[in-house]
Amino acid sequence: MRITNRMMTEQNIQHMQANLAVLTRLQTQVATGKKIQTAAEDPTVAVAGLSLRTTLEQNEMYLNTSVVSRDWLTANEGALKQMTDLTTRINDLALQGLPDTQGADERLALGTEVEGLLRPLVQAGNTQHQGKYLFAGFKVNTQPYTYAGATVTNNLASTADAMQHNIAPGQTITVNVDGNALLTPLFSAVIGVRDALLANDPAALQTALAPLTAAVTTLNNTRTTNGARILNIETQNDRLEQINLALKKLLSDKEDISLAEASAN
Amino acid sequence: MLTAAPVYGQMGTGVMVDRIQRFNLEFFDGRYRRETADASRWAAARDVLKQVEATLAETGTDGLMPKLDAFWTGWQTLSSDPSNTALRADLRERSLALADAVNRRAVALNTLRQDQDLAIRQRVEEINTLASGVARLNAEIARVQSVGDAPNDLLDERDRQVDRLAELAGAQGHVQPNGELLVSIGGHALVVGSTPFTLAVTSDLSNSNPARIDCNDAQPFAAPRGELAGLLDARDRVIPAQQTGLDTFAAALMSNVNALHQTGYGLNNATGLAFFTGTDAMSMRVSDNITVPANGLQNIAAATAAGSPGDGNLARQISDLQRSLLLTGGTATLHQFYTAQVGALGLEGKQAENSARDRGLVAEALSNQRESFGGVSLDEEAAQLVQSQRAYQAAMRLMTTVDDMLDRVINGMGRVGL
Repeated sequence: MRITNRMMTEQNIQHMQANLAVLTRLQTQVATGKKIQTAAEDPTVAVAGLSLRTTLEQNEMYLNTSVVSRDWLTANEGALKQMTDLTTRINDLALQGLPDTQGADERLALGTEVEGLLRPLVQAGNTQHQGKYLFAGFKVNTQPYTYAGATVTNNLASTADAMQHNIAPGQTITVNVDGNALLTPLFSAVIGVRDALLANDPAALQTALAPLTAAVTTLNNTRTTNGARILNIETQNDRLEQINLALKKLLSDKEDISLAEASAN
Repeated sequence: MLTAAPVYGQMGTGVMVDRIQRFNLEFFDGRYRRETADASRWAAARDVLKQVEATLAETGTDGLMPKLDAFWTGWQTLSSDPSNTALRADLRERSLALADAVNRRAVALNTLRQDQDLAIRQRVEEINTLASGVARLNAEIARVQSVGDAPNDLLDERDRQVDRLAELAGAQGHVQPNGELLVSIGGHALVVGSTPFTLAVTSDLSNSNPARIDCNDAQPFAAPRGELAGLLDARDRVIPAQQTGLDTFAAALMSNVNALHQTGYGLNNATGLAFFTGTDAMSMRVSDNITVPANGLQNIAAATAAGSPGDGNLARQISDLQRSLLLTGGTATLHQFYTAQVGALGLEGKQAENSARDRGLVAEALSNQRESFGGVSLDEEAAQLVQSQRAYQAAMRLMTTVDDMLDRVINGMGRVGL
């Protein structure tokens, strides 16, 4: 081929341009730390990056929710533990009042103590977490129980609403406890024990013991369920943290440059 | 080959010009123009696609997807503590940011489309100017050639203009026996002899876009290649596809969120309220119900029943929309739909980039071939100059010798009687 001076000049300029373009791309990569700046540079990586980032964001979202859920469940656990302590003491007092050796004065004293324990028990039922009643179902702003005139009033007809939190895609956990189902029998059993003691009536006391035992069993079951949920959340959290790490690594593999490689190029 | 006739009546000046010949092969011209036209078509497409990508900014932190993710997270967080007004305010901010991001993209795409329209109008104007230029040159060239001269400068100028026409719209030239060049674009004549058939630009109401180009024969103009082809493709296909996609995305998002939101109850038991208003990406707004300062936050429905401040189930359902297959006939989530669109745009950009480079290389090679035939090499010229000089010197030597001979014959011989 016949070569002219203009051809030489143009080809040289063209090659310089091509090299400069490569240099610019590599310098941008080093400066930003990212393999690609626009989707056109590598559509596959760009799309994978977008999906990964969303998955990561969702994961963070579940992690954040799980913190809220765990707080709520831990608050439940605190209130339930207090109730268990109080109920155990009440049960002890009832058993103390049962033998025939006990006289009217002793039973009166025991009954008064039960009466005194009923008040904190109702207060435990009205426990608030961040200004919201734990055992009121969805009516978190309404105090569920009132203790007045020696009786306990249920302010809410039903507290059966289940507060469900997402802890993973398509997976929910119930964080609250049905207050009425748990506490209405407990309160009435405690009131039965109290009244029998105050009335110095061992036979009635004997009868009142069965509902109390049943209420204690329900309480223990509820506590176990709640504990299992806390455990569930914590395992879930560990898993989410691991997935988070894996996702971040994957995203970095896809999008980040190897500085050594870019420099060598 | 175009030659100038030997100039007679100029004997005695020492040199006789036989002819000045212009080197160019029509074959190379045609191929070169076709390839530059392709290269510039893809280069134009690449430039526009780059702008679209920059507008959507999807791979950066300012993308639409992070905003959408934040929106879903807002609902999910609210579902875990629905009576918390701080979380409601946070959700409202995230929703406003999302609507704003969608609006900005819609406006930017619209502006971009108008920019292409302006660029198209400018190109058409340039084509018309060049067509008139070629027509004038045709007339001049035909006149000069008819008297047997070679209008080499005019021919060079005409070739330059047709090269530019090829770059702009893929024009092809055919030399007629009388020296005139017939220029056509996609089968439609642009210049015949000394008559330019200029393109007409009118406003096209059916295309929601002003510039519609018609050939002189009232047929719609379609550039087969060249910058115009790239620009028209961007204006009428690439950008509208992105706009439609964004509109579909926004409409699906709004209708689905609204449908759920209207069944729910706010903290103040307000129900049946829309969360978003608008019909497409451009008109998408967070509803006044939500933004009104007095009770906007209370109006956000998170509960499935009235009087249930602790109920976050509706917020949870809305947050779960992120995994619902709402688009493409129930096969794609909002996220998948939009990601696919970004991917398609990226692929198109990559294709344009590669094609522009490849076609450019071919055009370059052809240009080199053309240059190889018609170009001037300084070394070659210098060598030929030396050659000519030597020949001249040889001729001079011959002259001197002959002069000497004559001198001897005339002055040295037959000197009888001296």
